[in-house]
Amino acid sequence: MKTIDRIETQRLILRRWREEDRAPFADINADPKVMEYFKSPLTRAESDSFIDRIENVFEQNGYGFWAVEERGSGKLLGLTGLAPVMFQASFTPAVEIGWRIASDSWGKGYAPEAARMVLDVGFHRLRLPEIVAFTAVINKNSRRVMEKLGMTQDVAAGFDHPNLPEGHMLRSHVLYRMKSPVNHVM
Amino acid sequence: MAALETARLVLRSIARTDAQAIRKHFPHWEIVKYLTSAVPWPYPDDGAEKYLDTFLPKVAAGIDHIWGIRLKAHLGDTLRDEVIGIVHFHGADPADPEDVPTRGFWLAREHQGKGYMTEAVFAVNSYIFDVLGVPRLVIKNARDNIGSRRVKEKTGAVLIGVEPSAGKYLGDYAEQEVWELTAENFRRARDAAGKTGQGAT
Repeated sequence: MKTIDRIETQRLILRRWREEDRAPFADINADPKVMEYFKSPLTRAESDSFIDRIENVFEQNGYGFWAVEERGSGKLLGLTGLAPVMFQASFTPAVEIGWRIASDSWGKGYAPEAARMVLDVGFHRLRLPEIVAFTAVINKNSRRVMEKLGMTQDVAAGFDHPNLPEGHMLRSHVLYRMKSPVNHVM
Repeated sequence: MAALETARLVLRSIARTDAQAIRKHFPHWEIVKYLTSAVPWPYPDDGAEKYLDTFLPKVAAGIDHIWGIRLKAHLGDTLRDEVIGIVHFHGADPADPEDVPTRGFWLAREHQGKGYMTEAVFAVNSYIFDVLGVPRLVIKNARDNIGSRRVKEKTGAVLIGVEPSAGKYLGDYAEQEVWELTAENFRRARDAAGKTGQGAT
């Protein structure tokens, strides 16, 4: 499997994960602000295992959630990328786009900048017919990025996340879709 | 297609609304003499529209990518915000086994000599190699086209040959240079230049 290892944008470098990312990524995953709309912040072991799972997705699919590094400073900002949706829902099988950015780097437009390139990788290089994104209904920040990217909410495909218990405030999820702009039939 | 941004430029996918700017900046002998003789000359009144009619379907099909270059300093200024040049990437047509990826560009005369094209090409090459995953480009220019050669040299292309080019250019140049640009060489040039790809300064 030929993997996509590096994508450069104006201010960011999206790349495969390295050992030295583990500590700063664990800090990001332990930040309650970053993890407000997840079940809970992650322990160091959980964060490390997340990186292992991401790298596994790269090996199997050629793409995954890239580590996002700030150009110049080399600081790890978080992740942005693509992954096959790992649970069953009305919209699966599907490939999702996702992002997670350190809270001290919010408000700079890093998530949309990285995500725009990732969408182009998905549509123009991987030739995916569609990319989806989902988040807890109450996660307005993430929904704003989805809308900024031009993704459209599919109200009928809203769902309860199977990994969260019934009654959990984050269980109810919204689904956003984007169809490929590439017209495969000329 | 995502817009590309550099220190001084914004590159957006070309649209029909750019026809007027193309008509203004493109049909000048100093520009077209270095371009393929497939460009109609004298340039007809509807030349820009014909160009867009021909290539926008290829853009929609994901085969070609065409960026219009705009100056950031002019964004939002209704009198001056317009396309001042184009970078055209032609991806290999899957239906044509002989087809190879290539890239061409032009810049309005009054904006030449300021490093804009090198800046634009760093950004576009990043997209071609990083996002589209193209392994290698073969790019050509009339031997006399020094400006184009300089852009290629700065962005990692390697001269692999000179060949006769009678009839290939509007300017009827006798020879053309053939350059190879691999993803690896481009990335090396990008790193060495300390350029930021899409944020080249």
